[in-house]
Amino acid sequence: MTPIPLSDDLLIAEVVRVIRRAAKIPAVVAITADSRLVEDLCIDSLDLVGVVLQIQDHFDVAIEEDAMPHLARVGDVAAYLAGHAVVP
Amino acid sequence: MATRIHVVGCEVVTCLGKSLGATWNALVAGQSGIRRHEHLTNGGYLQDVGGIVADFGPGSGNEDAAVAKLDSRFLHLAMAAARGAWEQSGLSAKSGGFDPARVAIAIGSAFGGLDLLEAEQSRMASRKNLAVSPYLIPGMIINQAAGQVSQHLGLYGPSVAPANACASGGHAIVLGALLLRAGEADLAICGAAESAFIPAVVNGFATMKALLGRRSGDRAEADPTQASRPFSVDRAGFVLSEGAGMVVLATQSAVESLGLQSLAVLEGWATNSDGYHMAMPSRDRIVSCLQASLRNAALAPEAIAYYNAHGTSTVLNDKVETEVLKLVFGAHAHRLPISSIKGALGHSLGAASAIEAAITVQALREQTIPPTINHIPDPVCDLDYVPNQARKASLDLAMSASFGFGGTNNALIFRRSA
Repeated sequence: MTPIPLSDDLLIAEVVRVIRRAAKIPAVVAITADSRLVEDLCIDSLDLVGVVLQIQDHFDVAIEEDAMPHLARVGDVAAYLAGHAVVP
Repeated sequence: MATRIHVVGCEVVTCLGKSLGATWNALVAGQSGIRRHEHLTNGGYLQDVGGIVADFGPGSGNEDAAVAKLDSRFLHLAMAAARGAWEQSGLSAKSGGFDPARVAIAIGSAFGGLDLLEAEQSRMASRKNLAVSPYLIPGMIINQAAGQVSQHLGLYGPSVAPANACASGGHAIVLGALLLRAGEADLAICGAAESAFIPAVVNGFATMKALLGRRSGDRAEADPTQASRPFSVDRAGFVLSEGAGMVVLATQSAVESLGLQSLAVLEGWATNSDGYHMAMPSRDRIVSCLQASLRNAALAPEAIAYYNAHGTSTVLNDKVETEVLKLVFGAHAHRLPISSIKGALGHSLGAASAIEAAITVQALREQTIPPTINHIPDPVCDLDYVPNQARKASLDLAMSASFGFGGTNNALIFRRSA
């Protein structure tokens, strides 16, 4: 489990790491804050559920169903996490 | 006249080697893939020796990227064996030369992805919302092995997934052959994969007294490689292992039109059901099965030059199988070389039957019988089990048979290709 808040850059890097691992995205594919999960990273609907689950496990944050459609980019996920920080 | 069915590709992934060649070489050298594993010793298992494929599968760092999301070992084993068999058949290089919709897939397993189920159940319990991985269901269903092979090898013919316990692999080969005979396909990739190392399964077999278990004073205590000892006087249960075996079958016309190399001919087969008991074998129904395979191949019992046994190393199976062989082969039973490679490989449940079929084909090609290792004679099992040392022999026809819990049997007869 990784505590939040991290600095923006560190949080983005951590989110990228979790997404890469969860969706098995090869190292040759660059992932940035602007990367769109579906269009750019080719994460399908099933993979997206897996990514969200891994994010929740990793950061110990519950992502509400209503929020899911708004998490289009990697940066959106990081912003959501920053906004729902559980300060250790 | 029924079409002749050829074996044109074989591959196995076992605790003795991650290819048919590596496994074969170790088998004929009399080696064992059974080890004591620390994670079994300390993980709540009633048996801590087993046959595990080293440096393989999810989390190993060298997993097959195509199936990396699906963390069940049986899928990775199935994929590796299927890729190898397909490669050996030469069909991967003949893309466009055949219709992929005319390639059937029959891949079985006794248990499927129970390792993934167990891992996800544990994760689920730790989550407030009780969520599980979206890959759990796709990763544990038995027919996903055929699904992944279809997806990644680009094969679109009929697919089936026999779950016939320890006979699954042989049943898959029979189903593939039947699809070819029925004209539903020209080629078939058939076999089985298994990895069932979770405490409940191991301990379930142990509780049934089917497994060797942990026995104080047993010769496996000091040397785990002696744990599995089919037909031996001190056999005391099977040793669980994991693995996969695949064969590629082709009709005579596919062999001719595609220029494939025949490794062996699947000369005959039979399957039947005991209708007797949930777990104990029926001697008489197994006799019927072996006799039916001989009838199907139009062969006299004396024609069989090698019998690859189910030979689990349980007290009951090896005794009953010996009786079966005497009833089926008569006086020839005493001249017939019989071996169980489970002494070396342990028992990979559903996969074993397919691995043994592939090894039987290899025995015909190499004119060599792999030994029954760890063998100490038993007066009750008084046939020629090719003890401890491989043997050169003139082999034209060989039979491999398997029997599963639930009372399900198969026998396959292979002929050496000219």
